[in-house]
Amino acid sequence: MKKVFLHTLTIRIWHWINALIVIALMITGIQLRAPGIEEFARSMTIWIPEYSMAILIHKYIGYAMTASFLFWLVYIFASGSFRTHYLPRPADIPILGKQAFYYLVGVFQGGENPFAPTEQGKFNPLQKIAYGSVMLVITPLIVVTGVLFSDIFFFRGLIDQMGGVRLLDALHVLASYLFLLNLIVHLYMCTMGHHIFDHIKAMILGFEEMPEDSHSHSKH
Amino acid sequence: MQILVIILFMLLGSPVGAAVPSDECINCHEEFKKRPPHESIACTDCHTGIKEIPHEEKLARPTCNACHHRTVARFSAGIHKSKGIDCKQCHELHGKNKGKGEVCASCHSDVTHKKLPSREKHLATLNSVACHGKPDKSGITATVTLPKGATLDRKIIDRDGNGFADPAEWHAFEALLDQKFKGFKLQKQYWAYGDNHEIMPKAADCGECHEKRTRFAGAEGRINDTTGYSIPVAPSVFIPEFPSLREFPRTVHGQKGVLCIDCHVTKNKITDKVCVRCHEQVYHTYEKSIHAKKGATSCTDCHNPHLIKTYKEFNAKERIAICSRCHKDYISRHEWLPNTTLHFEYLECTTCHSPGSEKSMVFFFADNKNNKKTPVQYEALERVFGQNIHLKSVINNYAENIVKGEEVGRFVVDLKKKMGEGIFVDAEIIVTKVHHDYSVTRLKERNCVTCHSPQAHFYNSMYLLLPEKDRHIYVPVKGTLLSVYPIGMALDIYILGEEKITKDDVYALLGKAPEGSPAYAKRLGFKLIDLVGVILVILVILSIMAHALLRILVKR
Repeated sequence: MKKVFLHTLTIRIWHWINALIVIALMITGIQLRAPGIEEFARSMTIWIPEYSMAILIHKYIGYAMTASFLFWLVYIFASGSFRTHYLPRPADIPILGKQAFYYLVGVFQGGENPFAPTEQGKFNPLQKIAYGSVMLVITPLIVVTGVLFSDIFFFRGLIDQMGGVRLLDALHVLASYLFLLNLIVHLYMCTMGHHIFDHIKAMILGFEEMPEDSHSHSKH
Repeated sequence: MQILVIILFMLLGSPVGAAVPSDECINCHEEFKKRPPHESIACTDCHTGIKEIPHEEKLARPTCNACHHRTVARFSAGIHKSKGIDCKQCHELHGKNKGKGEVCASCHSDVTHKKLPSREKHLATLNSVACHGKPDKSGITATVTLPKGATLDRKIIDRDGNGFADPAEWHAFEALLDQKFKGFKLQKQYWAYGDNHEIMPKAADCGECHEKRTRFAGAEGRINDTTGYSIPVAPSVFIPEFPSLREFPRTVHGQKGVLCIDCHVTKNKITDKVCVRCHEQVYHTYEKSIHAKKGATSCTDCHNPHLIKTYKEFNAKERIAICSRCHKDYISRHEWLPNTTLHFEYLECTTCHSPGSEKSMVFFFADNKNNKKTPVQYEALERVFGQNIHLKSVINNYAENIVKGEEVGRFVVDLKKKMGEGIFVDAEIIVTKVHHDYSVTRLKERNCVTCHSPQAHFYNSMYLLLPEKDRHIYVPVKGTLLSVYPIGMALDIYILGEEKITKDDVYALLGKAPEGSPAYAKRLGFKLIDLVGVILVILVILSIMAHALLRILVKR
């Protein structure tokens, strides 16, 4: 077994803080969109913030999300992580199909994961697409629309040029559905390591234990 | 003039020159021996039918008009004549009584001037002509008598040398008197000359002296020093001008015929007892509310009875201004409300804090110039559509008291062409029927969907506020203005809740829509995001569950 170092301390701390931010925004966001959920949660004796509190949480945690996103953006470009891990390469194309086949069929047949993460590239082509679109398209969209929403009065000129509050609302909600879909898949896929908790451990400790030669390694 | 007439009568009508000497009349009519008012004229001057004695049994009635034609003319113009009163009722023609105050009291025994504000002051300074008659001349004379030997230069009063003492100059002068001329005397005389016979049906209203100055239009300062001179003074120095009087006829109270004295019974501050006389029901609602018990306790704390506008004509900002006189921290207390300042552009305090009130969405035409929104004024519309325009009849060709969304839409497009691209329809959600219980301070239901949903209460009560000459009218709106093209483009208000999918939409999509599901889906627009989003989330969760189950089954 060898230790493959995948996540820097900075990224690990960022990841878990960002996770808390996303959870808070998701819960309050759903509550804002569907206030009926509050009553439902109460009947199930699940704690859920009061509506007015949810609004405030969503607003201020939203600012935290903006800061968190900006930090991540600067960090991955400054550290060269974007080049190493995110930038799609021509070599990715042939693996794309194999990777999809593995997730949909191969995994049940005891097939081998065609991709093994290394310090030179921790994402397979599908992950590059997923994380790339979440972090560079969906999140910026949700952050920008969210910031504009935080003070419609102040940003009115800009919003009107964009096409009005209705469109802004539609974009914010659309982005949040896409984000949620990605989050659900993300939460499931993190169990797809060699062991069910391997990926989660890696995000805490920074490294993942891999067989010496992952390609010759068979399933457990 | 009167004196001349009397002299003329004395010359012409002396008893000596009469056809029948008066002494002879008195031989029979002894009871008329003493007749002071008319003692200088002969009996036959009035009883003209008598040429000799004994005279005829039936004589023509003497007419006062023959001599007192001016007085009679003035009397005829007054109220007493129209009430059927004649000269005799006040004047003893053959007796002592000339007709003085006590004669008035025989009918007006209960004149207390109870409703007259500053009663003592008014009664002490004014005569009856000043208020009840038509003065031929009236004015104010302020006589300043200086201590003996003192001299006061004219320039000390009239500082700018324009020959007139304006209020500032006179007040400065009075202050100086106190300082420099100890023992001076200042006497103010409010004089009105006229004929007591011409009594008006209604006393002059406050405005005649305190605003329009149709009475006591001029004032004069008479300075009694070693030289002695006069200088005209601004009358407002001696009779304060009430600024509200100019506006009062245009106020609701003024238009409904409320007079100054109906409220200003004494010179003390108006109490609720005055308001409650008319606004009983409102007062009792308010009286029981926490607001009344803990905060503003009198009506005038919030309401200015001298304002021109009715409550309905106030826009959201003006209404907030009333509450925020005390509730200064209203913005910080509503921090939980997203876009606080934006909300307060469209709402007023009582939209939420008076649950018993009726709220409406009120639309109005506004102009956006340099990013500043201003409601379109009547004068601007008059310039475009001509004088005395009634916008309602322009918008709605029919005589019904309602406008339709499409009609307003067409009108706005037209108005944009005529008045510039900045024209749009603005809206506010405000109280249109007030319930005076403001006990609700902290709303339990701080919930966006109370307003941000198609079921929001104000959609059932929508009005278009149209400016008319000197007022505004509320015209009910039929149909929604928010989604009607091209209004949607012109309207500067967004109720986001309208973009949320509802149960009804889902049922309609499932086949109950009369126009068919695809057409209905198309109409849903942005609402489809929720529908598609939720379906996708469910599908993804289901597939993940299937994936996980398979993984467990093959033990991978």
